[in-house]
Amino acid sequence: MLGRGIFDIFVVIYAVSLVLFFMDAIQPRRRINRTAVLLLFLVFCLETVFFLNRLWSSGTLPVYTPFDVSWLVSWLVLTVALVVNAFFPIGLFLFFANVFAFAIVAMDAFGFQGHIVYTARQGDLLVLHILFGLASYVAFCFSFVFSLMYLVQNWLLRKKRWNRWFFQMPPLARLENYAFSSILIGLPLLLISIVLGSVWGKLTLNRYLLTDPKLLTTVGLWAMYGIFLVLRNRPGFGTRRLVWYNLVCFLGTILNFVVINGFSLVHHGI
Amino acid sequence: MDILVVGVSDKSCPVAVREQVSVLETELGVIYAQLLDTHTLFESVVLSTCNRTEIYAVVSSLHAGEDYLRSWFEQQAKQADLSKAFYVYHGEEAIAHLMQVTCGLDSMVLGETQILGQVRQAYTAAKTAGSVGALLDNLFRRALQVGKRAQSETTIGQNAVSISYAAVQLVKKIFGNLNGRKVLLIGAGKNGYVTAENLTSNGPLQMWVTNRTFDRAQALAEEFGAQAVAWENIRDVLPHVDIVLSSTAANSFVLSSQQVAGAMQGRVKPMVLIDIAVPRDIDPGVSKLPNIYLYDIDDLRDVVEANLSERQRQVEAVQVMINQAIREFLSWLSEQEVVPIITAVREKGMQIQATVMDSLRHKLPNLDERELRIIQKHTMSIVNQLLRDPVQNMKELAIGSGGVQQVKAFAELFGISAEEVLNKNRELQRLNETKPDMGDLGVADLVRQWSDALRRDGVGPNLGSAAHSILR
Repeated sequence: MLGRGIFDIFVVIYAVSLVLFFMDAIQPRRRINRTAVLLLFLVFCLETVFFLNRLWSSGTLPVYTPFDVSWLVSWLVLTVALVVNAFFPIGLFLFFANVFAFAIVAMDAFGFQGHIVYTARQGDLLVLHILFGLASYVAFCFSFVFSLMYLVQNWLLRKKRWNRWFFQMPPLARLENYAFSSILIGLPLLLISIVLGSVWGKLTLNRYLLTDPKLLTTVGLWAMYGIFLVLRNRPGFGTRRLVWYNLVCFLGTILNFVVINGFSLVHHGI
Repeated sequence: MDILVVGVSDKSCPVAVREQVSVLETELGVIYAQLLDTHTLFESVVLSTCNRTEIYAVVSSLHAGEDYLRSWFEQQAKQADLSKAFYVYHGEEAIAHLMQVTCGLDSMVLGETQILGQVRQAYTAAKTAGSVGALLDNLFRRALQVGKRAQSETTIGQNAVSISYAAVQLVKKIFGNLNGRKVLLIGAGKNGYVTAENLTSNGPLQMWVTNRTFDRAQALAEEFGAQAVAWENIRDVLPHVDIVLSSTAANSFVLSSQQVAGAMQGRVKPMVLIDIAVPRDIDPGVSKLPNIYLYDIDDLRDVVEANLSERQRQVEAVQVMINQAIREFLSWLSEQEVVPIITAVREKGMQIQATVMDSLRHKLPNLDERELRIIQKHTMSIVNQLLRDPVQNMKELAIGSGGVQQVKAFAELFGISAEEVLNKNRELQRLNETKPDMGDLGVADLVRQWSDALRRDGVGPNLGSAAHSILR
């Protein structure tokens, strides 16, 4: 397990990088931007090393504890954000996405005390179930980030604030499209995760856990995002209302991830 | 030799003066023939746009070159007094000036992109006329490269600096692209007309035009491939459009809050209203309605100001690119400058080795072929090892600051005379002539230019001007 001191240093570097990104967004300076990107890359490297270290020491993919799962989510968000930014730079996307990833890392750093030892049967099917679930959550995270950017850009346009954020952020229509595309990717991934989880439950416990709160709420969450797609493709609901609805859906994702696990028979609470 | 630029621009003189010295494309042939005919200029490029006329030249002597170009401009101007209008840069300043011009930093509208094409055109014309040698060729290529980089890697040329383009920018910030958008143009004001023109150039639109005088609306509609709408039918069209452009001479509001609210009833798509009229055409209360984005002339002016500040902010990043390009060019130049001297030093070392070998053959006649080969190999190795570090260091020192002085010291240290450098130049020139495929950018070309210059200058035994011919 990681030394506490090193972990704290890692969190501080991440925080400094975000502060620099924020400073650059408000008062752009090339040197500040470069330093922020460099620190973020350092964070990415450290996070990858920690992840590999966990992989090496546990001998299996580290996805069985809430700490590991959160870690993987933040790593995925950071990786996708860096890759997207490298190939299709979207103004301020790196900053907004990393505010979210940092929140998860901070929660990991200070929120989780001790580790739950997982005793149930583990295997490829469970790993796949968890990975697909996490991938869908990451997609929903990005959808949330784009929706948030949409609201900020919309506010700037309505209030006529022609500042740096206005220049840097993409047009409203594009942000809405990015948010929609992220959900379009996340929804089938979540469905696959639900199916794999159910099959794993049947194989492990010899029954389908149809009454498990986690399964019910996840299916509910899936339906909420499904409704988003339906509303999006039907004229009459309005983009702004749809964006707000997306934020509500994401709130559901957070609740499902953080709170509902505590009531589940087969999932870990945070 | 030196790089020199003499010119006039919008910053140094009014259009009445600039028009006197501006050069038409059709005149370039005669002008280049004239410039090529003189012994003062070795290479030249004439850049003439509506905001500037400049001549970039590689000259044998700075003083003579400047005099020649000044008198050329004065002849062109005939009546206008240019004495206060001229600006003259040479050496590194001239290089920096060209790069700033190419990046749009010296333009009337900061960061404008048109100048990049104009510089490219000027360079191509000069090259076709045979007036560009290795030096200006390399310099202009680098300048065009940095200009392209500035446009693609920064936003210096992207944000609108006119009211009509600012309107398009705002519309794009909402809809992303304008393909298939529905536009209603109200009135036939000039601003509205220009904005509508800019909108249509950004994608195929479906447009309606309305005016108090229906005939005028019809004429405009015909011009834009749009549909004319009678003034009293605005209410029917309004619910279907995405963008409203209003530019009438009306004294009261043309569109009231109630009218727009009525149009927005049951509608969730956003509507952008651009009011470019003074007095305003659209009730400002409209902006409080949901899904409505209303901008008047002051808002557009604010956008233009913000855009200009944004362009200004990008100057810092562009300047970093320019500085890098200047460093690279100077480094290239310095490297070329030491080539004939290094060749001469190597030659000298080999001559000494050959003399020692001759002497050995006379003093030790009993040495057999194998022994001679071994001695030859080892003495050659001594020469190479002795020269390796100085030559390598010389290349590096020539790139750094004060490189010219270092080159001079290096040549003097090895007792290389100007005549030896000249001979090296000629040899390299001959080598180049036997290898026509080496292209127009090679070292040999540059050396040929130097050689020509040195011959014209009649460089004497003093090494100074021979070894440090460029950017003194």
